[in-house]
Amino acid sequence: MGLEVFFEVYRDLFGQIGIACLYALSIYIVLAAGQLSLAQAGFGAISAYTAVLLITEQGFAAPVAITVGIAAATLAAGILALPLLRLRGVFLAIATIGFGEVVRVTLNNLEITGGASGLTGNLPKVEVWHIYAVLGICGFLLARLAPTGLGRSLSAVREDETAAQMQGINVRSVRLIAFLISGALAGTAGALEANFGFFIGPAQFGEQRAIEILTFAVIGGVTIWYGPLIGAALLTLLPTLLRDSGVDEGWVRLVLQGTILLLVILFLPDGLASLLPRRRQKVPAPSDDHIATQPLELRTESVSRHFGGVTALHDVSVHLRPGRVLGLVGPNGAGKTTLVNAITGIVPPSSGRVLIDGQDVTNMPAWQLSRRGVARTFQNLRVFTHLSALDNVLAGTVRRLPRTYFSRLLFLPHARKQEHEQAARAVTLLDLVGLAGKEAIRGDQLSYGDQRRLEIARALASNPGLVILDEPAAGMNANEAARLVGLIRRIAETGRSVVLIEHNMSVVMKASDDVAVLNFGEVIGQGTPDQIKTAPAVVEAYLGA
Amino acid sequence: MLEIKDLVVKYGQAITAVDSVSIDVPEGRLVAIVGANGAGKTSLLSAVAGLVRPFSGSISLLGADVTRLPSHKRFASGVVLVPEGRAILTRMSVEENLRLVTADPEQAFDRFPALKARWTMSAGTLSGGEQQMLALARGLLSDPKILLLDEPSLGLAPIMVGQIFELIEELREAGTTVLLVEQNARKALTIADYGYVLDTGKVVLHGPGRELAEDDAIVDAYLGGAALSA
Amino acid sequence: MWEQQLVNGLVSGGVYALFALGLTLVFGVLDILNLAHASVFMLAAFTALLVVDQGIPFPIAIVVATFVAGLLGILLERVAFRPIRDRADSNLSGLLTSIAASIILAAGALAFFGPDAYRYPRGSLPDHTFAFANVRLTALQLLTLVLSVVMMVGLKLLLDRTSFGRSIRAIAEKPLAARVVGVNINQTIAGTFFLSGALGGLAGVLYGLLFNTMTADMGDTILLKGLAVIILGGMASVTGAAVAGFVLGLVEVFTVQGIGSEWRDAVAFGVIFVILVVRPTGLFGLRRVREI
Repeated sequence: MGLEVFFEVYRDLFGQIGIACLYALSIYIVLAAGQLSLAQAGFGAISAYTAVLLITEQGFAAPVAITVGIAAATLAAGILALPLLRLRGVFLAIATIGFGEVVRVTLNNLEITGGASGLTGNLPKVEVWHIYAVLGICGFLLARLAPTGLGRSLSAVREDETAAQMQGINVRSVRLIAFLISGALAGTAGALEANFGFFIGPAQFGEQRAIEILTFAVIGGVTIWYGPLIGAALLTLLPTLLRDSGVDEGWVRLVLQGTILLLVILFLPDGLASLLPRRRQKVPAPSDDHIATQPLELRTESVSRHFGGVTALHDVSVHLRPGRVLGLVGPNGAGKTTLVNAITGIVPPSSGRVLIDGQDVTNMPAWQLSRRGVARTFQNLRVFTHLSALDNVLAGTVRRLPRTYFSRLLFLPHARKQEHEQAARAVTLLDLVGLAGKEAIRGDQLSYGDQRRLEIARALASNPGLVILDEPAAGMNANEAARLVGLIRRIAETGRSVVLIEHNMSVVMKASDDVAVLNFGEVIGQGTPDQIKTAPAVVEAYLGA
Repeated sequence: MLEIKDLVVKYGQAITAVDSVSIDVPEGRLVAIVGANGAGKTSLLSAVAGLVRPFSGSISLLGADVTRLPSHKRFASGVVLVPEGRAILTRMSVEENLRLVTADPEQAFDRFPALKARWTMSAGTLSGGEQQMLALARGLLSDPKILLLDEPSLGLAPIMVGQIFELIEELREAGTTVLLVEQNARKALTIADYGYVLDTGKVVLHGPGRELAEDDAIVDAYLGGAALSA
Repeated sequence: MWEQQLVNGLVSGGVYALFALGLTLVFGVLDILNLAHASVFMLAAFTALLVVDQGIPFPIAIVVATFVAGLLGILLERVAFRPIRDRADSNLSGLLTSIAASIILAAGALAFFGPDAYRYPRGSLPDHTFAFANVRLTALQLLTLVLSVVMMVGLKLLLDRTSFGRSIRAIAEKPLAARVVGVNINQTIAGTFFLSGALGGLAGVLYGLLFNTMTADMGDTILLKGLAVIILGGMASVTGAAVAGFVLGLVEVFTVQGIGSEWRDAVAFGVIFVILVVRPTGLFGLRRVREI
């Protein structure tokens, strides 16, 4: 058949695929931030009805009405975010499904929205090419996002929120931004959808639709922006393909959909997009420039921390002078990590003060402390497991990344140059900790010791004045431990104060300028390594009398 | 009683926690495994108890190969683990915790009189030392052929630690076979018949308990550098 | 009139509670929200109908359908949940596989039964009505009330007093502890799914009997009510699900009286919202952090 006839007959189908792809992008952005939000159909409904009503009741021109519709959806996302943003996982999913259903029931019951029969009489104003133009723009905008500060923040938040906070990422605001963008994209999809056909009704926007959009993302995969598009195109094509092959029954399509979904989850968890070749990450040569840092002074004053009836820390006062290394030792359960959590804002103290360069930072949230110049590694590794070593370190630099997004949109060379510089500095750090040659390896493919080293590199990436290392020598043999001592001294010499928690006494004694010993939440000794190692209280605490 | 031969335990492809370890636990003896954090001690016990599948190597109990036996069957054949952190069910009472392993939980009263006072109270209200006692009681009432103890003194006050070790010694005297993992190296090696020192998944030293306890080489291997003297 | 509403609310509340208990059991033990539970609800209702269609009295149909639902639960676990159980993100993967399973089961229902509504054959169901005080109670409503309460009490007794129940509670609190006391994890989880399926299935059968209308999509609305109940009651709390089920039934009935029946379904979602914002742990929930 002729090309014109082909496009006529399949106009609806192409339009639907485009709309589905827009919805797919809208769920991509929230899933990329690790949020299981299923509110897209609801946002789409708000935008769709707003746009149509403005056109039919108020005589607005279509482009204006559509824009207002999108704004309405974005506003709804903002309002919804207030109560919902602290929900995680399944709870967020349930709440957003609930939101979608409230929207649907409301639309069903109000007269102005035409009730269950919906709104008719709105002539189509949107052509297929409009939809694809918008889709192209939105896709482009998202595609250019990945290596920017926001893009890296999204991945970091998805991987591990606590670690992300310690890299200076304001997790709350990142999740909010993702939510708003999702609302805008879903609103775009809804408004275009409403003006593409003759009719909209509440049934198009309920829980079924919300879950269908989720399946786009799962089948296509969310590790890259075009993954959900693949899912959307495939699933939207499916009914037409089946019908054209002579299979008319609706249940066959459902069986196929469900089976594909199940098979993908079981056997291809990163989705169909993971089958496509991906551009290899370019690893530049290390750079030579050093950024100067000012070492910070740390003082805790009578810090205590209780959990229910348990006293984890009692009246702990330690002092770390700028540029020195303070070793923090004590048996398991002595409270070392609790103290560090108190210092870094993860679990603030019940009483007492934490002072950095004389400033009281006791109740500062973790991400702010990180921007103040505090960085740490974690006892229970919090490496970003799905990201390469290089990306792990780059995630640590988000606070220092220049604003390259707009330059990236215009493909300006200066953006590429800046990213290259950042990457080169990241490679330098990886070399420093002993991970040369492993930059492109995924976090979870690195050995235990290498993951520990990676955390150190990531911590250094934000150029901190105070670095806290929590059991960095765990899993290292004698040689590696000796190299670690050298690394710690070098870190201090390049202008940083270091707190070192370690069980490996040899490492602590050789790397530290001062040592504080904790047992049962209290400081039982503080002094130079020589003073500490002969203190009877310490020997007893460690080896057992 | 228990023979571990060339055991390798990996997590994913990249991390080798236990690297070709061979350990023998003769019947009625107490064998101690010491080593720094991350040395592989807990992974070793988990593999023996059937909680993780070893990559290669074998585990035999009384001559029978149990390497592929699932954890509940291993428990039934007498391999009983008291895990690190105790794994007590805090939402159940003391009595219920024991009922999980025996129809006659009151047997516990003999050795563990302290539990009687808390019998119907939720196990979450017990102190750390009492919880450890409960975990040990649970282990013993499971009718073990071999008792695997993972860091029983972890996080306990010195007095409780003393009591726990006294109890472990009593068990040894009563003929229970025990495989003990401890970070409190000196105490563990002093009461052990035989000891192994683990470092990054490998056995670096082994010998009779008393000898190792007084050996400065373990101070080196375990604590790194003769920095501390008793 | 309110006494009648009270009774109506308790009857539908009983159904909600049974359904929600099935969700709660699985969530408590595996941390997975099983959205295919609604399909089991629906298929059980149809099974009971099929049995009665063969001329078999409806009480036997109830038992058969409930049992079949339990078996379906075991099948679901084997196919959709066991393969992903050891993954780090098992609660997310489990939610997704449950969605896949529910799509497939819905397709099956559509294939066998089509989109039409089905009714029980004439005369196969009792039609006595009891009247007392200001209240009229049909035999089926009474049956629903009695069965739901009996099942709830039975479940609590099973969990509290039997060794199987103890094993379930052990896995729910700390899988490691369950393993070191020799619990057969696979078997216990399979048993939990049997219970869960049976509870959801019984809810479906009773719902089908009460309203005498069965459609392939009858699971849709009940699912959202079930979610509201477990959120209200606390995600892994058995007592919570039971109490919250009745509460939702009552709140719905009295709200409908107030603002009209078109808003009935919105009540459940309103509840979800308020609770998630004000008290996310629900009425009886504990601050749960899954321990290893």
